[in-house]
Formats: sequence, structure tokens, C-alpha cells
Amino acid sequence: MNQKKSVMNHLSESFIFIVFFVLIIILTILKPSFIQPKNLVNILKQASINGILSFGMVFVIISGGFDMSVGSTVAFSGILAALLGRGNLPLIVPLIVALIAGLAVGIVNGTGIAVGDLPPFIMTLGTMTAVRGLALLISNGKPITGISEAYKAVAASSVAGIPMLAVFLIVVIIICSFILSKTVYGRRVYACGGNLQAAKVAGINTTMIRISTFAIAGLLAGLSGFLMTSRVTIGQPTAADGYEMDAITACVVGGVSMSGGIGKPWGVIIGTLLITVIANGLDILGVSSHWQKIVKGVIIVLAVLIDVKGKSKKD
Amino acid sequence: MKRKKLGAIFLAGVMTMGMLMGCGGSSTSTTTAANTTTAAATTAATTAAATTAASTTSAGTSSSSTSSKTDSANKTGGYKIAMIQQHQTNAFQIAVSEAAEAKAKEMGVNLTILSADQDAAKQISEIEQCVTEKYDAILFEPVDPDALGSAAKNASDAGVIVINVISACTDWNKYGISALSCGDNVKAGEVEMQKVADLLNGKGNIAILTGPSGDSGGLQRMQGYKNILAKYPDMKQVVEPADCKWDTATAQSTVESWLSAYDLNAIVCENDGMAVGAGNAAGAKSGIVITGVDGTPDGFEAIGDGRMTGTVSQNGGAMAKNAIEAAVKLIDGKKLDTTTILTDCTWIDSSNLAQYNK
Repeated sequence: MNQKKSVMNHLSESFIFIVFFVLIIILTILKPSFIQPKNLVNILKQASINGILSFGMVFVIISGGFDMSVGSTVAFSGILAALLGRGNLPLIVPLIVALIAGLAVGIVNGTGIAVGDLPPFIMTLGTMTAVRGLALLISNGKPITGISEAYKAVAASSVAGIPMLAVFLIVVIIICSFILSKTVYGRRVYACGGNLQAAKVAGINTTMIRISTFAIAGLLAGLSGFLMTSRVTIGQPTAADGYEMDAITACVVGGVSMSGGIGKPWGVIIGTLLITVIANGLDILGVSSHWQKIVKGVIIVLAVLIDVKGKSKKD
Repeated sequence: MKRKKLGAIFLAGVMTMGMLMGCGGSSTSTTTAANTTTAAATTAATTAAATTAASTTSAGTSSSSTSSKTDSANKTGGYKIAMIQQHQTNAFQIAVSEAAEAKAKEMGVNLTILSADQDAAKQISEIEQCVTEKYDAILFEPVDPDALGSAAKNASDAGVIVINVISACTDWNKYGISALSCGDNVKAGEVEMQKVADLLNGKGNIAILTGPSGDSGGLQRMQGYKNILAKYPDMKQVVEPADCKWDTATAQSTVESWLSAYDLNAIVCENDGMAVGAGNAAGAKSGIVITGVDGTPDGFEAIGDGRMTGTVSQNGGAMAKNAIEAAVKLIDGKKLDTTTILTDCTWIDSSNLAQYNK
């Protein structure tokens, strides 16, 4: 009995690894150029922005929340960064402003949800719409062109062969993984999502914890906005449309439970890479992009199915 | 008690946002600063609406209808014309609104510009509203070619002149729509692909980036591509056309992946936004021919620094101007020379960029 439980448990934990490696092997056989260093660098670059957003999202989801607004926040902070990145101001100015903008949206979200008792879906749906409106308003609906060469170089440059975007991602992964798994704060985030009432009774300031998770998601969305503008070389008010769904997908596929309290950082890394590899691999194969949607959808459902089955066996 | 607390928190949030945008505005320009106030006001309105859940519907709708309205040329006595755009969220559409405003001012027309925000139902209500408010003419770009026909028919039955701009309703002349002022998307596609063929001497590996599947403008441009490709058997599409949803970042990722696996001579894009993404992936002066359609500022910038080869401008501003001219003619009771008014396609590359990039 005990053995059966652990087998199922094991399968649900490593299922995503298996899918990931099988996919890589299939893609390499079909198209050897997939595994070339040049393409691996592409995958790192393409995973970066979604990866940073996913690591913000994982805090929110583990604490029992849900954030629809990160895509809009990327566009909003990206526009602000583009406006400030046009002159000769040091790059730290657009970076800080983008981070503050993202943080502000996150705090508004968190306050509405933790203090105002609004359902996360409703609150962040509201900010998703309003913040997209702000981005359009500030930019007057047009792309912001003419950012400085130094700003463009942020995303285009690389350190020892590793693209700068990936360096940002790796730093975010290290910091976030450490906070989640090694600190008291991290354990409290899990506690909030596992059982909010119990966490409250245990003396955890759940209001502050929940606000802070949304603040982290907002802050990382602000960072993504700054990097996004550098990568596409323009500030676009319509950018990052639907990125919140990609971030949520990366978390869910990586074994983070939508009901909160469960999830590991490495799962999110694999989830992010898996999504990127699907898109990159199918692009390389020259397959129509409609297939990407189908494959992505099937993998999401399969991942959650295994997750749910694994859990029900555990109980 | 709780509600009060909530209100205070929201207010604090709004103020933070206001402060933040103040920072952004002051260092850029005065116009942004002016925008900031409206932004803060709108947020205040939205959040206020959100807090008082009971009265949300009425407050919400009234604020959204006023905010999407941009009145211009408030001269008395002129004709009342409404222009309903598909949306106002890209450089092309903004160029259309700016040109329409300028033309209305020049002709002494009382023009109201509305945005349908990509929502066919909203566009139908806006048309109905304009009929009730007794506009002389309604110019609109249908959000959906099939969904707006009967709304147009009802308006024209009520005696309003109805004109399609930029794109047309299916069988538009059956629905009482008097004229169509648009660019020729098939032609734009042909001009673009012909240029690519000329630059490659009719031989090479090409790839195509498309707009969202099913978009009529995109499909017509694709038709134009096919018309030209049929003449050049040595120009091969080595990958399936990729749907990059007009989006720069999506296009950039797709092209990065392609370039690590394929040897491409040209990347043909259905708009400038995607061409900029392709240009970013390939890098400046990559030797790959990268082209777009539209002639938007981001495209011009990329042509300027060699990331893009060129673009086909359809001159959206002229479409709006022609439509207003036609509307005034029809209200005056005159006849139009032709009911389908087409604008020219202009090829813009580094040689004539300065003329268009102001």
C-alpha cells in the first residue's frame, strides 16, 4: 500500500521531467539543429521574460492567489521605461521607474485582495484592464521609438556566451528559490496558501504576506517590462498580451497547485523551459503555429490531470 | 466601516499611481504631463466605480463612453460626421484619427471619433447611438466584416450616409453603404513581394510572418504574396507561414528560432511591427531582406538603422481624408465619381525614408 502511494507520488512529481526530456529527444531526432549551441542560446533568451514572470506568479499562486494583471503591467512599465530610455539618462532611471510602477500595481492588487477581501480573479482582472488602459493612454496608442543604444544593448548583449536576459533570469531564480525554500517568509507563504485560517491562528500576519506576494509579482513584472522594451527595441502599449496565461501555465505545468500551498521552484523552471521548447521546437520544424496551441493545451491538461490523480491517491 | 477603509486604500493606490506617472511625465514632455492628469482622473473614476459596486453599471458606462470620445472641430453649422474606428491602439489607427481630425478642421466639419475597441457589439451600439443623435454621416471600419451589415443598413434606412473606411463589410453595397475608402491589401502584398523578388533576383529561400489567422487584411496581403510567388518558381517558402499576431516579441522569437535552423534570404511580414521583430532577431545589415506593410514609426526607425529593408505604406491618413470628402459630397446631394476609393501603395526604403519619416 505504502509502496503504491509512493510510486504514484513519484510519477506525478517526475512526470513533467519525463515529458520535457522526451520532447527534447524527439525534437533532436527530427531536427538536429535544435540541439546546436546557437539554438540553446535562443531558448534561454526566449524563456527569460516568461521565466521572470513565472517566478513572480509562483509566489502568488502558492499563497493561494492568482494574478491576471502581469501582462498589462509588463506593457505599462515597458512604456514608462521606453519614455525614460530615450534620452541620455543613466539606465538605472528607467529600471527603477519600471520596478516602482510594477510594484505599485502589485501593492494595489494585494491590498484589494488581502484587505478588501475581493476575489483575486476579479481584482486582478480589474487592474489588468485599467493598467492596459494606462499604457495606451501614456503612449497615446503608439509604439515609443528611439530608445538609446545603451538601453537596446541590455537585452542584446551577452556575458561569456550567456545572453544578458538569461543572466537576469538566473539571478531571479536563485533569489526567489532561496526565499521560497530557505526563509521563514517563504514558509509563511506556503502556510497562507495551505490553510489561511490555520496560518492566521498560528499568528502569521496573513494580510501582509498576501500583499507582499502580489508586490513581488508586480515587481518582477516591472523588471520584465524594462527587459521587454530593450529586447524589442520599442515600447509597445499592446505588448505582453496574454503573458499572464503563459506564466500561470508554466507554474501549473511545473506542479504548482492552483489551490495554493504546493509547488517547488524547480518545477517552475521546467515548466517555463517546456513552454519555450514547444514554441521554439515547432518553429524550427517549420510547423504551423496553430499546432503550438494544440500541443500546449494538451500538455497543460495532462500535467494537471497527473497532478490531481497523484494527490487523490496520496489522500 | 469596511467600505470606508477600502476607499481609503484605493485612494492611496491611485495617488501612488499619480505620483509615479508624474515622475514619468515631467522628464519627458508637457503633453505627457497633461495626459497624466487625465490618467489619474480615469483611474479615480474606475476605482470609484469599483468600490461602489451597486452603482457600478451606470457610472462605469458613462465614464467609458466619454473617455473614448475625442471631439474635434467644434464648429457650429458644419455637418455632423462620426468616425468609428476598430480600435485606437496602434500607430496606424492613431495616424488615421489624426488625419481625420485635420481634414475635418480644414473642411469645417463637426467630427466625432469613436473607438469600438475591437468589439463588434460595441460598434453596433455606437452606430445606433449616432443614428439617434442625428449625425449626417457615419464612417466606420467594421470590427467584423459580417457582423456590422444590418447595423449599417438600419442607419442608412434612417437617412444617414454610411461609408466604410480602411476595410469593408461583406457585400457592403447591399447594406446601404454608399462608399468604401480603403487601401488595396492585395496590391500592398503584391508590391511587397515584388520588391523582395526584385532584390533577390527571383531566387531564394523566403519565410512569411502573418497577422492573426482569419484577419481579412492579412488574408488579402497573403493573396497578394501568392499572386507574385506564382511567377517565381525559384522563390521557395522553406517554412510554413507563422502566425505572430502582429506582435513584435512573438515575431522576434520565431525568427530567432528559424535562423538557427534555416538559411533564409528574405522574411516577408504582413505588418511593420513583426518586421521590426524579425529585424531585431537578424540584427542590423544582416543581408537578409526583411520587409513589412504599414509605414509606422517603429518600422521607419528599423529601416533607418538597417534592421529592415523596406515597407509598403498604405497611407491610412489618406483613407480617412478621402472618406470625409466623400461624405461631404454625398450630404451635399452630389454623386461620387467612384464608390470604391483606393489609396496608393508606396514602397519606402532607406532611399526615400526622409520624405515620410517626420
